[in-house]
Amino acid sequence: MIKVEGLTKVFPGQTIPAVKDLNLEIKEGDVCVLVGPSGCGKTTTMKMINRLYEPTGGKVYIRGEDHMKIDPIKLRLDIGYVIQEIGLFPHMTIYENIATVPNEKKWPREKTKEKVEELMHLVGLDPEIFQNRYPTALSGGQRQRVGVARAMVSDPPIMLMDEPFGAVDPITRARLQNEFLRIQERMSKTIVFVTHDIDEAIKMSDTIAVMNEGELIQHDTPSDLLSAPADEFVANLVGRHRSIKRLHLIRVHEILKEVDRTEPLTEDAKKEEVEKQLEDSDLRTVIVVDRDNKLKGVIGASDLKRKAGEVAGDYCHEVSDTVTDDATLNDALSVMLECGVGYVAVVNEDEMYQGTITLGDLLNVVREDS
Amino acid sequence: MFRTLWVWIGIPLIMIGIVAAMIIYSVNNPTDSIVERMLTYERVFRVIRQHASLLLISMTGATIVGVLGGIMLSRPSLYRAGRVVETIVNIGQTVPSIAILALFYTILGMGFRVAVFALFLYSILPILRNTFAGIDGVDYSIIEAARGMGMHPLRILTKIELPIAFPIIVAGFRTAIVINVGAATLATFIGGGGLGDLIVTGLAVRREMIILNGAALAALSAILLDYLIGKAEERVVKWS
Amino acid sequence: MSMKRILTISLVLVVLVSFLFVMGCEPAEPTVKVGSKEFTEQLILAQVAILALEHHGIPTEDESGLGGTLVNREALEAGDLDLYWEYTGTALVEFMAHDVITDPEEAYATIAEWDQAENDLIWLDMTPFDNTYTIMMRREDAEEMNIETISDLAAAINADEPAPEPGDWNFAMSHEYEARDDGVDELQETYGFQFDYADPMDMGIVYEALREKEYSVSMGFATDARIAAYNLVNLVDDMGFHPVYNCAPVVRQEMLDEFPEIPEILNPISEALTADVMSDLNMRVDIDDMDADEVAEEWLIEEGFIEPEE
Repeated sequence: MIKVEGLTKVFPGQTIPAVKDLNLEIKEGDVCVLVGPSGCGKTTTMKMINRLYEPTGGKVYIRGEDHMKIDPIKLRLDIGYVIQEIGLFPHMTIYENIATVPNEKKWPREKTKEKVEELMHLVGLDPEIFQNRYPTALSGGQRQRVGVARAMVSDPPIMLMDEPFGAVDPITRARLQNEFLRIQERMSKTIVFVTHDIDEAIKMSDTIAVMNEGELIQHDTPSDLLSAPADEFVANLVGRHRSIKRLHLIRVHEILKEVDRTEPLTEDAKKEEVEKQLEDSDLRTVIVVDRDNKLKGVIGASDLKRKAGEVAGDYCHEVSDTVTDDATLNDALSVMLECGVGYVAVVNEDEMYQGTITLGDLLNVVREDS
Repeated sequence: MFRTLWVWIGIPLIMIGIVAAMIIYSVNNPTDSIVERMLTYERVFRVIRQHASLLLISMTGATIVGVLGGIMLSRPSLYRAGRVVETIVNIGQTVPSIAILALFYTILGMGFRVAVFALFLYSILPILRNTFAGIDGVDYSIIEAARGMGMHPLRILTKIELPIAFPIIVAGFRTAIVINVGAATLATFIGGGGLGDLIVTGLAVRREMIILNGAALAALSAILLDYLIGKAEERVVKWS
Repeated sequence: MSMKRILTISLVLVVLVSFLFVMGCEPAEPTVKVGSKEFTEQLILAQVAILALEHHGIPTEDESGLGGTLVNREALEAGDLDLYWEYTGTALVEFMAHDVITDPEEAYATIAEWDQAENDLIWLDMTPFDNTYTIMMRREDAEEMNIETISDLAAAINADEPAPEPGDWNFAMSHEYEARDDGVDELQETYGFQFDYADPMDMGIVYEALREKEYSVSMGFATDARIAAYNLVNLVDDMGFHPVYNCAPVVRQEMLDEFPEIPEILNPISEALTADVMSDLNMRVDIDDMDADEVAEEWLIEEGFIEPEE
């Protein structure tokens, strides 16, 4: 989809090239993350793909076509673009912001409206509520979502993302990353993703291109990168805690099916059933769901002593946090550590209960790997 | 609905009414023959008309030149020049308007046209500076996002830069118009007419009533224009 | 002693000491504070008076350029000034609220008598020059159209004769002349004609307005240096419309009591100030760019009123 050959950039007035003889091939539907310390040339490389910077030497082929032969305006209209600062237009409503490219492409009004609303749903912003708001009225995470929606609205096959989740807090970032991965699973865009955060790179990528001082050091899948770093620099970048980093690579639903655990109780289960399961369970906790299989809460031993009632629903207390089934094991670990318990309940997008994983499950994964 | 009427018609009418009442009273109750000669409806309307012409012509020119100049200087190729011009403009702004007028009298002579030209040049300054500063102040990430999405430079200027800079440009325009209303009272010194006729004549013959009428009209114009432009801007700019 | 008493006594003491201090500051030797209005002629006349008085050993204080007519007059009446040169016509109309008098002697006698009686202000001898308002045209236009008097001008306008450049019978004037009772309205009424239009402007530029052919007629002051320098001509006020504006030093009686020799010093000087002399002195400042005090000193030495300093 994107092929980069001998790409070089020397900025005017400088002798050392910012990017030197870079070769890279990105397959259709892949997320390629450019990672490296600041000043390593990763952003410059990205900006040469949509010709925000003109290359000094080398070629970029988009679907086999030399991109210098494509009008830069047309080229950019067909490549989604997201930057860390988002760059939302403060004087336009959310709707108008997202409709930027359709308006540039002079789409009919109906088509634009349909696509904008679709994209707003996709990134989890209710058009009814948000479309007429201005960017200043949005939180950082919401603005990032608008930025992504704006880049994707015209359905570009290629997207360039420069640290798109760099400016939000860690919890929001994890959530946005997971949402993005879910969207990507459906959309299968070819994405060039720039970050300096190796954890994010491992989590988001199909392939990782490690860059340093303008040169490409290694281009590999995350798991190969972790097991076989090309040199000292990559090894240092990846760090010593490679086992923990593997947790970024595996999604909760992947291990959920291997875990054999007792079924949850419905809220109208008898007190005796609760007592029995409490004794049998390795969790020392009973998961309670309602009739629609939505997570209702959990019951610990203390709940049974303190509260009175007939059925499970009377005893349970709400859980403070859950993970979705497309979260990484690392996300699950974070939640466990933050909540101070050895397990976390897994729900899907519609908050249906999917199962529970424990600290022990995570340990098994790490052990198997090493 | 009622609020809109009140803001756009009610308040301006009250302002105009107060000054109009003062003029009517003064015209009908002159304290002596000099006041009677100077304060006639005919003369008051004439100086208002002259003042409005001074203002309108010079501000129209200054707005066109100031905004276009500010846009040109904000283009990357002229950006360095823009910085220099900004400094010059800031210095130019510190020159009193009477000095500008005196300068143009020695270079170009006298009369309405010279007064208009001096006012025009003087009013360009805040408009040009604010247009440049407004566009220059647009966050770079916004421009980069627009370029990255494939917007044409001209579209970026008209759809992104100018709208975002608009409140600052309007602020420059307001400054210019308020300065202009005041400075236009000086036109009378070189025979350019306007409300200054009343003020300076009043001073020359020491008739406070004449001074007061001229000054009140000048103050009213400045306050009313500033008020209306401010309200219009509020209506247009909903996002900040 | 209560606090209140201490405060009261301190206050009394402060007031007493202040009084003594102020009285102690009163200069032992009285000085003549000389003021003037802000235009050239007035600045020169003030310097003439100062130099002459100083020459005869009378201490002076230079307050020239103090402000307009009223500022000087009020300062004089309040005792903040002791002397300045005033014009008979101005004083008659402005201070005395008297009707316009067009006979110089009558005007002088009327105002001098009134000021002495009412205000203890003494008018010393007046100058021969009469710095009255004048109506001017460019010399070549006036000669070509055979206009010598204001009546000639009125006749030409009424006969619809084509105006010289800029092609209108327009009129440049000071703001004051527009408003005054003896200003442009009355002028037109008296002579029975009508300018196409008349524009007020700064007094300083009416001569240039005429020279630069922005206007075909303008008003001015009869002794202004620029009339000769710009080749303009005064039209004769054949109907005696403009009041007379001879000039004289006005002094407070108290100062004359202190320095009775002042009239002997200043009267001969006034007598020497003819229209030609005044116009010449004005020209040295306005056209030759000299300072008022230089011009005054030069002239006083030329005329032998003072001796050059060694």
